[in-house]
Amino acid sequence: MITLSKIARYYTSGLQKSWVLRDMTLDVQQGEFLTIMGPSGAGKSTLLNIIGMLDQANQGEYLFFDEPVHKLKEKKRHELHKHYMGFIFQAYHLIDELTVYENIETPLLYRKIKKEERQSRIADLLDRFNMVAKKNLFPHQLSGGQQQLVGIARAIVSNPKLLLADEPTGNLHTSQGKVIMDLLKSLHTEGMSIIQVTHSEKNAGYGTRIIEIEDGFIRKDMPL
Amino acid sequence: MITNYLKIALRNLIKLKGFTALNILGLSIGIAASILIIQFLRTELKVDKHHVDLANLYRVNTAFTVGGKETQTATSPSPLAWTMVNDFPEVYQSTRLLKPPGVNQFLIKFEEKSFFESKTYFVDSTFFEVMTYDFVESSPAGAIKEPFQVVISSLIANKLFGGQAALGKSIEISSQWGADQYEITGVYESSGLPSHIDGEIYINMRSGAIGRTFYDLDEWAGNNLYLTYLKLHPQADPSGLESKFPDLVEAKAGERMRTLGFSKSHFLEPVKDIYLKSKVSYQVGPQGNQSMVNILGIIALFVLIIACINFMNLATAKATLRTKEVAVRKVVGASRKILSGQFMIETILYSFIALICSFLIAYLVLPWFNHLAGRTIQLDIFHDKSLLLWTVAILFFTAILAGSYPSLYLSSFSPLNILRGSAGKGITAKKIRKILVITQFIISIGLIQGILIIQNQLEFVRSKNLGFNSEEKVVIPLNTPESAIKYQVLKNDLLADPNILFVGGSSTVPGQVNLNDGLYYGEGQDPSNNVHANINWVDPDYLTLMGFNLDEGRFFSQDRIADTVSSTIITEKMVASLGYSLDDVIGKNLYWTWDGITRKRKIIGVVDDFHANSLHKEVGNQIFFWSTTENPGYLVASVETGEINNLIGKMETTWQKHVLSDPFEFYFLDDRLQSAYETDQRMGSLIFAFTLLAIFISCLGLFGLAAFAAETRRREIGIRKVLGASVSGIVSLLSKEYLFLVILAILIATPLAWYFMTKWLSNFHYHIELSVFTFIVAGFVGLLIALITVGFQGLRAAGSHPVEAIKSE
Repeated sequence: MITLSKIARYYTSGLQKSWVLRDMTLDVQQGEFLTIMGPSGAGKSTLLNIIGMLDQANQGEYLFFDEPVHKLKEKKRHELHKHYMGFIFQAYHLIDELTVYENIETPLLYRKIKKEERQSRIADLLDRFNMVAKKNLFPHQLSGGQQQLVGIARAIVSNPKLLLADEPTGNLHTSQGKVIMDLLKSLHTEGMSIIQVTHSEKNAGYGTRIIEIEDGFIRKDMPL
Repeated sequence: MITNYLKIALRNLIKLKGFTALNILGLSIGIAASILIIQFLRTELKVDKHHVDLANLYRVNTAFTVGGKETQTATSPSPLAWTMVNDFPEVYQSTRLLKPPGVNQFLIKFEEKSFFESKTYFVDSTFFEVMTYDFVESSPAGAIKEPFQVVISSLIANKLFGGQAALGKSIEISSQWGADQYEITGVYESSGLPSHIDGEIYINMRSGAIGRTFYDLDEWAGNNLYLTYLKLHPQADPSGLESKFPDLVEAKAGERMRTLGFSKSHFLEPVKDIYLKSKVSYQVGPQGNQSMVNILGIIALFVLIIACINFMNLATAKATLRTKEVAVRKVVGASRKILSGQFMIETILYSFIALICSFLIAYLVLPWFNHLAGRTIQLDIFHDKSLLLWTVAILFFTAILAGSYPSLYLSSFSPLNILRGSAGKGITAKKIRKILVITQFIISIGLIQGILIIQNQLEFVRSKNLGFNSEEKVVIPLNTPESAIKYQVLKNDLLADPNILFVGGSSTVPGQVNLNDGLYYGEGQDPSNNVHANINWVDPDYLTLMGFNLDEGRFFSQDRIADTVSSTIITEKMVASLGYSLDDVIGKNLYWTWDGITRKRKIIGVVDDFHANSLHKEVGNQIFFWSTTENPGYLVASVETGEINNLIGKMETTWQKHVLSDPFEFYFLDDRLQSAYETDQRMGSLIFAFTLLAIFISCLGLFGLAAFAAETRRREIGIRKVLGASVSGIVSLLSKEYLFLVILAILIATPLAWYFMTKWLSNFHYHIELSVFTFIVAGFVGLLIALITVGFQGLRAAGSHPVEAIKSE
């Protein structure tokens, strides 16, 4: 599904280039549950953002389902991102002014999905996550775990092929974290490809493959 | 989708109540001001636009050249109208309007009701065929076809008959020319179709003594008393027609004008331009003011722009709070186009709310605005379709101007950095916001400079030495022969009251149009080298009581009866015009030649020049003759104003004792003179009011911005306080950047204001000189207002508890 070859990413400040990723080469198959690990500043999130098409590499090639992403125009890349990616964040990033229901609905609006279809999809998810009673609450009325559940619901409501999770349990208590990880696991079992960034060995244990990166290179790549 | 946008917009609006209120208040005031001004301008531009065949309607004006100086009048000689129809194929129809000379008011009587009406004109029977009026009784075709027929306005009809039908009723109209009975043959609606002709009563010109004298007066050179209106054929070329005038004037009046010592030419003025653009003298109705229309139009635009800038500033400042939302929406699939669309819809929502508020505001202040503008403007959004269109236009103008930048700006955020957690820091639109703030202050400071200059000039006008004393003077017009012949009796009776110090009589008083004039020359000069002067026929007491300042010689003396026939008093300017010098003018003669006969009068006194007209016009030559007939046009009483109402009551009693036929009328001389500046004063107050608004809106925006700046710098301020910064240090930290902006604005505004105010002042022949000091004061005021606004926020920020501020991060 994903083929990265010799991907590099740097930031220029003044005359200096500070390299975040160098020579990153990686293949990810459909149906994998990949964990990216590594110390702070190793470039984990940058890699995730490049895969998620929120960011672009300075060098190297990126093929997504054989589409050369690095050559695509902004508009086309936006289309790919819109149709194939779902994102989950450490800080949930729900829109504060929208209710649970409306937050989950937002991606569907941008995909011009009909109202009945939206209602049924959201109802299914709310039902599955046991959040039906909370659908009219605002994010600040929810616990962190519940907010992240909404975050996941929002990420998967548009049926993406790939779910990208940046430290999804980083802000949560252990018990709440477990609920989220179990959920990701069962999504994976149902066929979703997942790439997560985490510091936690335990969370990494939910996946099928771990890569460790340091100083912009892949140090270890091991299937579980 | 749109419901989703509206939902989030409304929730944001409620969440940031204070901000929203600032934003909407500023926008509403801006829109309200524009709506009011637009309505005002529309009523001004509507004048005369209703006439049928407006494009073909012209007035024939006259340009006189006397002694090398040109004056233009709206009037022309009597035979011009019919000659043009007969001789020039371009002219389809013509009509004349006459304001009989020397008659300021007519007495209107019906049964026991009577009142004076000055807006009474004698017109040709074709008048209502050329000019369009909205007849409510009868029709233009049947009206004033015969002598002693009259058409009146619904206002007069109501006054006379109180709602009953006026058609066919007979009323008496009288003046010093005598009294006659007139049949009402038409009534037209007073309100609705505004015209540059302010008439309320139109009389067939062939009626009575005035008709006998003026209707077919065959005089081409002098007696330019008539307003001549032409309706041209649609395909006629007005400039081609104009080119035929010189030959006509030469053929009919050339020789006679040379004998009399002047020349003249005629030119056409389109009726559609008369109200706002005509500069000629002797109009029949109040003139509009093109520059007032322009200035107010610009101000309306300015106020709206200022309000929009506010909106932009506050919206972009507020944007820092929306960065997360934008980023998240982008991540879940929103494109930039969709996002800017969302923010545009928000702006439209804001504008729409502001529009509703602005109508409430506009309705509330409408009476006050009408009072200032001296108009009766209406805001009937449900029936006035153009107002509705204008409103929609304003809505879109505002939404696009105010919304475009914020929506582009907001939608441009890149989601990456924002979602890392350090949400929104460092994302500002500072530069643009600075430019916008400068623009606001350029406008505000420019307007402050403008009003200071206008107020100074109006004060100058009020306090200028006019060459006579206008205070504590009661003027009683003697409009009819019945009252004029009672002058001496009235004078004696009035003087019996100890509060009435002097009583005098004159053919004219300052502030009144004086048609009494002549052409004069000095000793040893050629009669053709003459100068124009206005004649004041007075009794000796008038000169003393008016306080004319005697430079040389003496006033008329009751002891020297020869003064009545052989003496004259002239003004300083006249001395120079005649080629005399002040030292030896006394005893020299004033000459004039009329119809080949030369007459002279000995100059016995010289008085200071005085302003018989407003300060818009240059002082003219004036001469005084002792009136030999005992019927002056005006009785002027110099009074003690201590118990003025009581005194006026006594004067009325005296009047009623002697003048049985006419109602008592009076005015105060100083009030009447000030009324010449009514348009200027109106403009002054309107600009003043809207300047205050502009400043207020600018301050609202600045207040919001400063609040925002203080809020985003809370942590910095907290740290500085912990490190020992004083309150004043923090206030100046927050105010410094605005100080610079305002100074820059002053530098840009000053030359602009200088240019426009010089233009406005050129309307006055006598005006103040622009001084740098005024501009400095205005700049200082602007600066002060800005610093108070910003400093207030600074104080608040400086007063907050530092520990909380630091902890909050």
